[in-house]
Amino acid sequence: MKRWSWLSRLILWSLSLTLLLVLVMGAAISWGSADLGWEDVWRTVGTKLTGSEPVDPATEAIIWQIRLPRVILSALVGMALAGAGVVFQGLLRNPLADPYILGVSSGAALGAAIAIFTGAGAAWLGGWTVPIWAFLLASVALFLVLGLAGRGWNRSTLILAGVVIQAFFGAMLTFLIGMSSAEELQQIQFWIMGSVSAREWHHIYVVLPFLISGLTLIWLMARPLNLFSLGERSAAHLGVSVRRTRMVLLLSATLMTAAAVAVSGTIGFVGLIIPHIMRRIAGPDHRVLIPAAVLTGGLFLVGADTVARTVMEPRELPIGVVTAFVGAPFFAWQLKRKHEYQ
Amino acid sequence: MLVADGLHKSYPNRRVLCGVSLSVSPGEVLGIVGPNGSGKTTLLRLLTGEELPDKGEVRLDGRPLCDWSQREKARCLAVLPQEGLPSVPFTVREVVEMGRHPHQGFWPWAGERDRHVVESVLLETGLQADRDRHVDQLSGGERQRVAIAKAMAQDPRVLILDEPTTFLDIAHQLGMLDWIRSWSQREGIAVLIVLHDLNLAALYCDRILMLKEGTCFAQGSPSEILTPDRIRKVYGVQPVLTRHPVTHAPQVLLQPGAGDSSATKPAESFTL
Repeated sequence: MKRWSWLSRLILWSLSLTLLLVLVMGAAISWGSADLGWEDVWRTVGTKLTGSEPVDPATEAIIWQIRLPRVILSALVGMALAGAGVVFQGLLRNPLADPYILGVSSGAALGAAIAIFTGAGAAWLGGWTVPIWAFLLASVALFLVLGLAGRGWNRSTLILAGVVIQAFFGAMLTFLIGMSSAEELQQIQFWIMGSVSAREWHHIYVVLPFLISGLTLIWLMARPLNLFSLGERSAAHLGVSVRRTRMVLLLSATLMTAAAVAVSGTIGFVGLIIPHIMRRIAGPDHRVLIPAAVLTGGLFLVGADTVARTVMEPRELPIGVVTAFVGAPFFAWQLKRKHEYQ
Repeated sequence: MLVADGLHKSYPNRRVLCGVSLSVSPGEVLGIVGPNGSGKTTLLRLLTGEELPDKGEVRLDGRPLCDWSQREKARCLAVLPQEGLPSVPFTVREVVEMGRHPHQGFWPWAGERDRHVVESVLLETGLQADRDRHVDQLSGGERQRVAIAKAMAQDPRVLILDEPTTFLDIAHQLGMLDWIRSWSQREGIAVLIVLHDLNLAALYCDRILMLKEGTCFAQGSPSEILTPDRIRKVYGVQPVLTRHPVTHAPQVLLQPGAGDSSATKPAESFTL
């Protein structure tokens, strides 16, 4: 079998997945509880993009203020979580690692809740207060987990450490909820369930810079990340500054997780399943795998959110429930197969 | 090329190396032998710069090893660990290309020269036909060959190998060592190799360094070093020495029941 160069595979995967993502997002916008036809939806988008007068202000509001931000946001969140998952799995050489299972997401959720509850730093951090608090606490959670797991980061010890930290941070989150007033309560509740409902454009502007900078960093480090799969000693012998590279990669992945959690709460399993499946299909080369998994992550979450808001109309399921229904059996199946990555 | 001067290394509860000096020059193969726990692994870790000596110094190309950046060092010194390549789903070509990493720039893509080197290495090592096979589907011997190809793509001037033949059958052992020696002579590469098998060491090394309890017990050509007396003192066994009928290298024949564990202290304490 003649293999294509990584560059042609990169272009092929990126183009086809981008196209698919745009199509699925388009379908997701046209689909919802308000009964709008395809033509109405697309005519509205068209007039908005060309700057002409809206056909119907009500339709425009539904499309432009409700559905579009929500669909774009779920794509961005899926991308961020899948990107973080690729890095955690590759770096820790652990197919079960992902931001949720490592407790990074719950750290970020606690940080976000603290920001909402206390409003600390809001004066000078402005709109960044929530993501920055999320990032700080997510980093604390990550380094606690890595510290608990000890040297070598054995596969099961790492997962157990993640469980411990998740339980602890979860308890602190519940404690915060217990102390909060009704309005804050509702907001914080949302971080536990994970949801992208009622999100607006400014939420997108919050995630976007973190996502873009995080993704650029990890893609530029794709080759060292490949070398990590040979083991840290071999990577060092090939000229990788192991500590520095590891730190930059871990912090980038944490940053992307924190940005995602800050706007959508803890959505599990995206960072676990998507990188895993894409590693199978697109191959282990991170130069191809990172973009492929990131785009698929976006695709998956847009799909999951569409299911979440339409399957029990007019009621909505939290999106985390949908991803868990898919992800938990997958995780169980992965636990049973042991031969890989040993 | 690679020089070590009076290396000392202690861990909290025991002294591992005590004043070991050595040097390897271009095109030379230096073998390091010694019983378990004699400090071979620690010596290698000091020579590759993974750990720092308590006293003494390692110099690469006349410059102290600790002054080299990780990347510079990797352009000059390749290391083949005992376990070889882990079972990764990368293809043979991709793994060989990983050897180019220290020569490549910051951007994730490979240059024209890297592609050229990878192709010629694949050709030389006879891996051309296996280039698109996945490493996790190869046998142990094939995988070791890929590991050497990766080291060749690294284009080093010093090659350090830690018991590279441990997991190989005799055909692959000989094939691997033949290959390393001819590469070393052709390109003038200084090779430092830890070997368990004294007979292989006698056949393939220009010089042998014998370690005993963290000190350099003897150093010289195989015929000088491998004597029944020394082997008894270092390993605590009573061997018979003979000459190889073809190459005239010394060869060690073992005798059943001639192990004498009192001649040497048990090197490793099993009561940790």
